Amino acid sequence: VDVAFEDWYLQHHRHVVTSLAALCGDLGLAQDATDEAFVRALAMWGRVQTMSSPAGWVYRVALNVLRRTLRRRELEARLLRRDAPPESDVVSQPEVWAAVRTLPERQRQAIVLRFVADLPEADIASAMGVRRGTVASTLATARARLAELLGEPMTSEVTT
Amino acid sequence: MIDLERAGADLVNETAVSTTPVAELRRRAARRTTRGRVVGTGAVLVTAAMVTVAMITWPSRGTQEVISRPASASVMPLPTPGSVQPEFLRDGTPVFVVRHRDGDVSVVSAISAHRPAGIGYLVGWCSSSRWFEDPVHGSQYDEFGVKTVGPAPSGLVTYAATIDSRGSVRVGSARTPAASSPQVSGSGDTPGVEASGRHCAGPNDPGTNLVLPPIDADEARTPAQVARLDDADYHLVTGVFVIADGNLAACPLPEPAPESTVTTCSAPVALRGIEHEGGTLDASVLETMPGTRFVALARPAAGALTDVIWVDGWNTGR
Repeated sequence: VDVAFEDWYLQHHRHVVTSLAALCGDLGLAQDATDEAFVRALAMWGRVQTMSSPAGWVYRVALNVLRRTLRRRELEARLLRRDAPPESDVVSQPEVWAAVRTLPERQRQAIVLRFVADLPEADIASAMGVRRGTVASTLATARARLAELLGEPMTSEVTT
Repeated sequence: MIDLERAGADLVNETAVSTTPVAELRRRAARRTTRGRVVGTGAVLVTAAMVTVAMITWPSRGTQEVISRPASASVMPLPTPGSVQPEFLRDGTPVFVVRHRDGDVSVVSAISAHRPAGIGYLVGWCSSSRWFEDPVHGSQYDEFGVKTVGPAPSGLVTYAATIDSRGSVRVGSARTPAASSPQVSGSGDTPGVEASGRHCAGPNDPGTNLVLPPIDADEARTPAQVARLDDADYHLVTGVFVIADGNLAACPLPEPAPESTVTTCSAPVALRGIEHEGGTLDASVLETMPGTRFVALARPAAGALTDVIWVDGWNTGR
């Protein structure tokens, strides 16, 4: 069981961390949320490994952990009157990911799960708790909005 | 031209990710499993609410767990002789794998046979006394799932189980338990009669050392998300009970939590099997349940939820 978990963990860990970092701009938060998600996966590995989409499950847990942490951080920032958000840790094409972070949450998640996590639409649907058709339409809307925001057209879409 | 495929791949390659060693994850996972057994103050309050509901709605209809799909593909690790391990079947059904002291194996459902008002509850394993116990209503079952005491109308559902050539437990189809014969002693062992309190005595805080299925509320989805899934598996769902069309229904948790309260929502999800006979809920349930938050296992059923097993309160890590 542990060997199977370790292989799966090493296969997905970097993508989960990077996806969460793209969403929140904070690599430390992304690492913590990712670790928490994989700890939960390990604690119930017998069940997780038989799921139709273990990757979708671990992304969903990681996204939930991240969301809760960000809410707590926002509250702390308000209480401490910390107005300026911390500088982003995302250094590769930062303007693209800064634009992604301005999208509504569902569009933001769909873009990151598709292009950073490199998940197929079925796994994205599992991670987001939506239907596969919703993933496709959300991605199309998000791509159009990103093209507007960045003032450049997108390359043609690749679907899975 | 923006190439998101390329941008995503570059980001993955160029971000300085450090990988936490698996051994560290394992240590944290072990701590997490232990923490899940502890009962918190909030849990006591929720449990009290559940007991109240049970008292209001009792005597129960004696609804019996019926597993509609065989779990023939479920394979699980073999516990050591004398130990018991909570697991989930492929369809999400919570079970316990019991390795008896003589080496034989049983797989029993972790869902109590006692379902007042149609709401199910989980049982926990009491290692000090080697029995399963419904911590809400007090029913007890032996390590084979046979009911020994309490209001449950029967024993636990059990599953055919064999040890395969690799030393794993292979789980087969469900066996519906026989109804237990009525007993007449006044000590709470009559079907339908509450056997109040927790009975599992342990070395620490008596009654709190039950081993329960590891449920993590953070995995829970909204009632609508689960209701529209197209399988018949158990899924973790969280929300708020409301009354819609005279019956119990579920709304998503309000935002922000926990300050907000909800007693209505625009699109409540129906909960099948929680109606009283005649399809109308008891008036006191109508007064008690709306606004109560829950975490439950439930199966999707054509836009509604069915087989609701209320799990919040003692093992969600909150």
